[in-house]
This record gives sequence, structure tokens and C-alpha cells, in this order.
Amino acid sequence: MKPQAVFALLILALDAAYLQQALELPLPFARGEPGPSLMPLVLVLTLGIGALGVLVQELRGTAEHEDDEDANFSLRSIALIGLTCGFVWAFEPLGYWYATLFYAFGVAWLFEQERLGPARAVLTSALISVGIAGVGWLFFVTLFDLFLPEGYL
Amino acid sequence: MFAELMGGFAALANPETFLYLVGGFLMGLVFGAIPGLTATLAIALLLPFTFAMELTNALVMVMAIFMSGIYAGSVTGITVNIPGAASGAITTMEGYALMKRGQGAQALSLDALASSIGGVLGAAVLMFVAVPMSQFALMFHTPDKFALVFMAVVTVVIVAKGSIWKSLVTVSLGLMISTVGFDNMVAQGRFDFGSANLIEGVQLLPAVIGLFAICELLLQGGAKARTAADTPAFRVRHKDFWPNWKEVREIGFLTYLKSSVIGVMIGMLPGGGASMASFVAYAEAKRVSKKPEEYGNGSHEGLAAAESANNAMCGGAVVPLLTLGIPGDSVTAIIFGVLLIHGLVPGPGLLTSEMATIAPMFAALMVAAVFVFLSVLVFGPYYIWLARMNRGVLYAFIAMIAMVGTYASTYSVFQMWMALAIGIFAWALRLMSYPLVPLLMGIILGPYLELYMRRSLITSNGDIMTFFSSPISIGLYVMTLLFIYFLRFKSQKVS
Repeated sequence: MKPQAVFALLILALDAAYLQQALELPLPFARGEPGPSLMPLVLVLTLGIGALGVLVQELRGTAEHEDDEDANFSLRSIALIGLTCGFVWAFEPLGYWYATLFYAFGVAWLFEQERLGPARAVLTSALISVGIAGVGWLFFVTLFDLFLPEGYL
Repeated sequence: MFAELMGGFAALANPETFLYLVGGFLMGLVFGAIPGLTATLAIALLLPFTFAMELTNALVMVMAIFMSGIYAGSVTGITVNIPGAASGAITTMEGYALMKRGQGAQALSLDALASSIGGVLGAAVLMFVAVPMSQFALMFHTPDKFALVFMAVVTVVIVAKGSIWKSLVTVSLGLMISTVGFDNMVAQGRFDFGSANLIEGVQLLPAVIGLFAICELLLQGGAKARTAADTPAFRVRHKDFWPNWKEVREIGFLTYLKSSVIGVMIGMLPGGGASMASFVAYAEAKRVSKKPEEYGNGSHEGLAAAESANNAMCGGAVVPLLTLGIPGDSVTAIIFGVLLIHGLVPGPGLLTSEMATIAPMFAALMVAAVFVFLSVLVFGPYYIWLARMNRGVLYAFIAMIAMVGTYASTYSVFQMWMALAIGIFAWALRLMSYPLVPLLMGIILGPYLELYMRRSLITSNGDIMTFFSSPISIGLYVMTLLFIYFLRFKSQKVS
């Protein structure tokens, strides 16, 4: 089955889960007024229609796909997700400086290694991460007087 | 009213406010010129900082980013054939052809002049049309407001690029996200799974950061290095960026004026946007041109028409936002968020009650448009450097600003997780070619759509005919049908 059709099925599954949660709310007009479930139930319908429309077009082969040259799956994107998860997880325990230095280094290296090679990119990325962490501190704390965590580990 | 509008210009004389204007203008230039970055992203990244700013400074900075960001989208298009934003696509076609003929500086100069003229005219229209429109908007009752928001939601779906089914899916997903959290009419939590964090609902800031910053970062992870980095430097002097007035006269003031009017009108349509404005103005200029054969091969007239229109769009796009509470595109949707963060609700009544607060925003748009022309004289030779910026620095900086900015404005690690989750979801949608703007519109318009729908039904004891009980709402439904016809069916026939 085509990836677009599988994705439409996933959307329909999401729609079903949302419907299940919506049905746990009081039904519309059960207390004499529209209530909190009216809008969600309408949305279940519109999302279902949209996802079915995509699915039918894909199965019939009538779907037209716009070329989006920027949208490509890549392991680097997965690595970026992993890095960002690590950053959010470590942000308060390690504090702004350590977490940001590691995060900025990781992101910079992922892009720089394409240009410089894995080994040479290490030094460049380290310099970039120090600069970015410094600029961030300057922006958020010095200039706008906002609080950033200092870590407790 | 005139005194209040002038007061807006007086507010810019405050050195601090003026610095925010200049800072916003420069930020817009940088973000607009760099391929992959946009005015939308610049304003999204600014959003956390606006918490700590005075409202006037925040609005002035946002408008300066909007104007310069739209203009700068064409800069890298002309110099290295990569438009910084979709709105610069037409300018790229004409401007890069001129660049290859050795007229790059002249193309950048004409581009800046046209953007300035369009921007000033668009801002002038905003100043003098917005208030009469807002007084009309005060006549709207709740069912009329529902019809209006409904029209915006429908228009968002039909103008989005690509499959209408996919637009329907993403707008529905956005509306669904807006239903998470505490119900705004009865004491009832919805879709919160018992989480104390989720019961507050999905905040606008992590949604915007996720949709535009995180998603862009992940998309760039899948993109190869830009060829722009391999392009040899383009050496020019500052004086090369002064316009050739003979060429300006040949283009003719009527071309600038007509293109600007087209830009403003399209800007006023929800979902219109700079790309549509530049394309329509370009098509119209070509239709009446004495030299249509030059179009596509480096036409000064075509370049000027496209650029006048996309900057005039800025003023037009703000009109429905401020007067009717309808954000026409992603940038105005985020400006909507900036206003909400500072306790101002765009829509009927805003301009009559808060004109003095909003006036600096109008003045900033006009002054920023003048800055556009001045900027090319100063920065012209350096624009190429922006397009060649190191990707490691760029995306590490975006990643840091996006995530730390979310924390700094909410002091919540949960909101950072939320921004990341929305970003990953948005990335998956983009991989499958689903449009993201309807998703953002759904998140923003959802609470209003639901509120007006339920209020109308409560006051009419559940009578559905209340939605068709006034001439205004009937007129809005007719307009919705006309939009569907012209923007979907008619445009398909033309293409």
C-alpha cells in the first residue's frame, strides 16, 4: 500500500481515538445547551471526510502530488529529533550552559560534517556551540532579563 | 482619528521604539534573505521575547520584520537564483535573468524601489481604510461573527496549495488541537488524559515554534547543502544600487500603483498571501505590457509589478486581522498571537477602543517600507554574504533559540516537549505533502469558532436558523460560496 494511503489510515485511527474521548463528554444538548462535545463531534466528521478523501484518491490513483523538494526523510532528521529530546530532558538538571553547549555542538556537527568531514567538523562545531550558547545567554538573560536554569546535578 | 495616526509616528520618535523598529527591520532582512528562513519564522522566534517587551515596541518590531522579511525574500532570488521565500519566486525569474546579464545591482535597486512604493501605498490604505471597516465590524452580532470565522476557516482550506482533502485534514487537526484543555464555557476538561499540564490546553507559542522552527530544522536535516554556497562572490559598489530613473520612468507609475492596489486587495483576502499577490500583479502587468516578450527574460516591468504587489500585501493583510479578527496568512496569524499575549483581542472594536495603541504599528509599517529602499543602498553588496551563511551556525542557532525561547517564555519544560511533539508531527505532515498553514489557522481560529457557535445556539435555544437570521451572516455565507467558486473552481479552469 502507498505511504500516502497508510498515512491517511493513521489519520483515521487518530480520528477514532479522538471520537472515543469525545464520547466520554456529555452529549450535545443533554443539559439543554450545545455542551463541550458538539464541536469535537463535528470535527471528527470533518477530519474523517478529509482523510477518506485522501485515501480514496490514493487508492484510485487520482491523487496529484506537489513536488516539495525540501521535504525528504533523512537519518539526520532522526538524529536531530534525538538530540532535541536529549536537550529538553537535560535542560533543567544540567542547566542552560551545559545542555546548550552539547545541543548546539550536536546540531552544528550534523550539518558541518557534510562540508568538512566528521573529524574536522568537531573543532568547528565546538567553536560554534560556544558562540551560540554565549549569544543565547546574552539575548535571554542579559538583554531581556529572563530566567534560565543553572542546573542541579 | 488623524491625530491618533500621527501619534503613531510620534511614538517612533522615542529612541527605544526606533531602535526596536531598526532591529526588527534588520532581523526581517536577515531571515527573509536566507533561503529556508522566512519572516514567519523571524516573528515566531520573536514571540517569546515579546513577553518582556512593551506592547508598542513589540508591535513596531513585528511590523518591521513583516515588511523587510517579505522584501528580502527576493534578494537571494536575484543574486543566486534561490528565493528566500515563496513570495520572491516571480522576482527571482526576472531578477536572476538580469543578474546573468550583469545587471544584478540594478535589479536589486529596482526591486527595493518597487517594494518601497508598494509598502508605503499598502500602509496608507491600512491607515485610512481600517477604521471605517472596523466601525462596520461593530455591527456584527454573535451569529455574524460565527459566519465570519467560518468563512475564514473555509477560505484557509480552499486557498491552500495542493489537495483540498489534505487542507481539510490539517485544518481539522488544528481545530482539534484547539479543543484540548479546559472548556471555555462550562467547567469541563477535554482530551487532557488527567494531565495537569494538558488541562491548560496547547499554548500558541509552542505550537508556532513547533510548526515553523522545529519542523524547518527537521526538514533542513533532510536537505542537501545549498548550491548557493558554491556560487562565486558578486562584487559591486554601494553606488551601483542607486536606481536608474530612466528605467523607472519606463516602468511607469501606473504599473507600481496598479500592482500595489492588486497587492492590497489580495492581502485583504484571508489566505491571499504575498505569492498570490505577486503572481496576479505580474500577470496583469504582462497582459497590458508593450514589451510582453521581455517577461521571463529579465523584464524590469515584471520585476517591479511583482515586488510592488507583494509588499503592498503587508498593509492589506493586516486589515482583516485588526478589523475582523481574521488572520489572512501565517505571519498575520502570529501577529494575532502577539496581540493576544498582550491582552488585545483583534476584531470588531479593537481599532475604536485601542487606536492610540495600534497606531504605532501602522506608522512602523510605512517607515519600514521607506527603509527598504534605503537598505539596498547600504547593504546591497553584503546581501550575497547572507545567502552563503554557514548551515551549521544557522541551524544550531535556530534550534537553540526555538527551544530555549519556549522555556524562557513559559518556564515550563512541558511546553518544550509540546513544541517538539508539534514539530515532529508537522514534519511528518510535510513529508506527506500536507499544508501546515491551515493547521496553524485551525489552532488560532478554533476557540472563536466554537465560542460563537455555542453562544449563538444557546441564545436561540438550539435553533440552527439563527446562523442565517441576519443580512450580514447571509452575505458572509454568500461570500464564502463565491470564494469557493473563484479560488477553487474558477482558478482550476484558468490553470
